[in-house]
Amino acid sequence: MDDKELLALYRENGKEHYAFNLIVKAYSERLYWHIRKLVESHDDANDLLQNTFIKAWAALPEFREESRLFTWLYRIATNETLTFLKRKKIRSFLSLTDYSKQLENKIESDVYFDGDATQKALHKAILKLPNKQRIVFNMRYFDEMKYEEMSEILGTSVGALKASYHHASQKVQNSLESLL
Amino acid sequence: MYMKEKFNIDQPHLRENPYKVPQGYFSSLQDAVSEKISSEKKQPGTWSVVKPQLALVSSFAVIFLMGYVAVRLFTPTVTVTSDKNISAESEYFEGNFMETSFIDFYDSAKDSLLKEEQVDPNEIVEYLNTNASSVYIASLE
Repeated sequence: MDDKELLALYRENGKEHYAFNLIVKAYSERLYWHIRKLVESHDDANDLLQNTFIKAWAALPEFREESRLFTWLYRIATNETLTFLKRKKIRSFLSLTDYSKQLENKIESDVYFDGDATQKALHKAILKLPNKQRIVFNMRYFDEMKYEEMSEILGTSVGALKASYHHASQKVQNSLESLL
Repeated sequence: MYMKEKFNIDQPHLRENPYKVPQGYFSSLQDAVSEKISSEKKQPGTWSVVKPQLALVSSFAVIFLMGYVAVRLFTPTVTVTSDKNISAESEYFEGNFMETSFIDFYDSAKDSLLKEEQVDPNEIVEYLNTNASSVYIASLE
């Protein structure tokens, strides 16, 4: 079932819950991995994903299909995650701890991280990037998303995204070389 | 050259997802989301919490306003004397009434605490006659 069919089903009387369950089923994995790569912890990713769907459920009656359903959901998830990361950064600033260091430690101790030493080093290097650059890098590098789609989600021009990805990948390459 | 090849971020295996999730996580997610959505529905919104409190406060405000208006309407108007009269009254008060203080009403002659007890000299002589020996011993000590 594509987005249009899902939304048509959602608008049928009494079928909104069933249609929304199908939407959750269709997009939960992709959204989860997007969030997980940014927050590292499974518990945080789970909370943020559930919040994303709750917000989507509340806003779906006003969804005018000006963008694709997946793009819209991706935008909600990204905003939720960015807000979460900002809050965490402020909290760690107040407690005089380095949040990116905390995330690095999460990679080390996470039982749900199954990568080898090089993958570990790569993910640690990505953590050194600023949050927005990290999102751009992840979307392009891991999800292989088109710049046009990224532009729609992040509200940034394609040119700016290309430049941001270029800088990010150079930084990651340099960090990776120093880490290994 | 070897180092560059080994740590190049373009290596395909680096793009693989190294993260895992607890078993059955995605299959249970739909239920978890549905449950959260229905519990969110049951929770009263901010407006429904504030509404009764606001109604209570506004009813108190209306009662207070009505009371205030009633007091204003039914209390006879008191003509306020001018400042000149007030100052004249206060001058009289200070000039006449304040002249007599509490001290003026106090009669020290009638105060028993200040009265000196008068002792009859005959009583002293009689006392010395009867207790002469003890007075003598006391003086020796």
